[in-house]
Amino acid sequence: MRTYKDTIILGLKQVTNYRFEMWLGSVTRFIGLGGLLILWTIIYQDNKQLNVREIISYLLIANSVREAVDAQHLKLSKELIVEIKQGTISSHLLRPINTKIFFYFRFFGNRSINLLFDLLLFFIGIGINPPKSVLGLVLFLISVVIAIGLGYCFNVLVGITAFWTTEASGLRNVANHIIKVFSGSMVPLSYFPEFSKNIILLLPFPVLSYLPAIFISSKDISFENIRSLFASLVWLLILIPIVNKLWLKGVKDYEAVGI
Amino acid sequence: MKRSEFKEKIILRLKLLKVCTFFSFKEATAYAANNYSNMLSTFMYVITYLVFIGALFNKVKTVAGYSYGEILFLTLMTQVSFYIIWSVSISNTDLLAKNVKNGNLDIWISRPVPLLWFVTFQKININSLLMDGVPATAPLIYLVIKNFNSPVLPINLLAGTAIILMGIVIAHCFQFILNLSCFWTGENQNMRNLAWELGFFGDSIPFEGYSANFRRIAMFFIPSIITSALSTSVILGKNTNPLVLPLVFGIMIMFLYLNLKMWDLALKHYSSASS
Repeated sequence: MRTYKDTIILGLKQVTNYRFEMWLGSVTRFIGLGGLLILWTIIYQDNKQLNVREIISYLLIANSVREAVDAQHLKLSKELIVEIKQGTISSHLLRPINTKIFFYFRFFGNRSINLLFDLLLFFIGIGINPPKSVLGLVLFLISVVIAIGLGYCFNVLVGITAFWTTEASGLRNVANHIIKVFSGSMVPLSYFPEFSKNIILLLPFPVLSYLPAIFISSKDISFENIRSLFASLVWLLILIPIVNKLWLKGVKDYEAVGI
Repeated sequence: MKRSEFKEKIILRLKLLKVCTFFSFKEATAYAANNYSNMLSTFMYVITYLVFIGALFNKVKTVAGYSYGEILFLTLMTQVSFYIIWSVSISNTDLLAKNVKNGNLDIWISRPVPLLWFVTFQKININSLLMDGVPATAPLIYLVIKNFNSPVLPINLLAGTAIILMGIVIAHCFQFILNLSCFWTGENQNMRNLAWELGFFGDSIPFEGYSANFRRIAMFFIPSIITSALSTSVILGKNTNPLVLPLVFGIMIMFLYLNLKMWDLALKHYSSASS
């Protein structure tokens, strides 16, 4: 456990060494989100029946959760792809540690500063539209835990395809685009036609953004959202063994100097 | 300068352009699997974006006065300008940053080539334009044809096209100037990310959606306002101000001048193990 704790601290030190780059990265994130907020403010001007406060709050919470669970750009998968492509993963595979978990903790340290910004956005979001019930708060926490697990699974799944394809950045982009829309971080899933919405809610993506944001800010917790949360849990239980099996197979098939 | 000398310079630049384009194409087609995954990625981006717009217009009728068909047209303009900027400009600014960081620029400094021209057009990614841009834009074109029914005057189309072209030059200069930070910092990934975010900021926001003051200022630091938002507005006849064209032309000249000056300044600061 101490190894993983030290790994987090090392990751944090790495990122704070390049302060200018770190601040620039944070500013860049705000610009992207700013564009989305401006778009929704403009949409509201033409469509006064929409509740702009709720939408802005929803976008802030949904995007901060998605970034916090690393489902925004799948950055952990990027690290895995680079390590596998360059062969530098070999040295980690030889060590008596769980390599996947090691990468996760190192990455966690790297993005600790970003997590502070996510918290800031999250608190602004709930400041605009505060939580409505204790049940909502509890469901929010459960959904975030499931989202962390699924975020990890997606990252590892995409990252380890590099064991077989060497270059997997294109696939990573595909996954990013799919998650972006179907997690509800651009537009709430309630905007989709009923039939599409019901199907999307059964996929593993809504828990990455939509469900946490809805649970914490809605007055009524609908049955379909509870069902979607349950479906996410099932997805998580299915994906964890798949990820572990594929990882072992990938390591077995991996060819590098000295391995 | 004599006329023959001038002609020689132009011929040298055109030859460089041809060689660079040919080499880039060979390089890009060498990694077939990666090409297909990139194609799938861009295709998925457009599909998911269309899903987003579809979901949005499921609830609302207009966005800043733009109907569904007009927003699709704006998206098409954004996509077209994006692929041109991506293939011609960003692949080169990324390559320049890499070459400055690892000192490879030395090789080109010591050669008798027009350096600024070379680093600007070293990598013309025609492959990306054809393989990624065309399939990804096809469903969008289909939807525009199906849903777009606003009348377009030829004069507006001409003016809009001129604005896109000038906007692309401005967008390139913008990306290039911010990327020159690599001469001072070495590593500038986040600066390039910033240039990217600003360069394609609010790609689905109509020109009329911004406040007048924001528009005036943003034209100087958000190039997509010119390349997609303003050009679409002019083509659709929503902006008929006769000063728009001269204004964009003036901004382009200003950016070209800044590009030259900043390049000279950056070269003066360039240092590597061998220079």
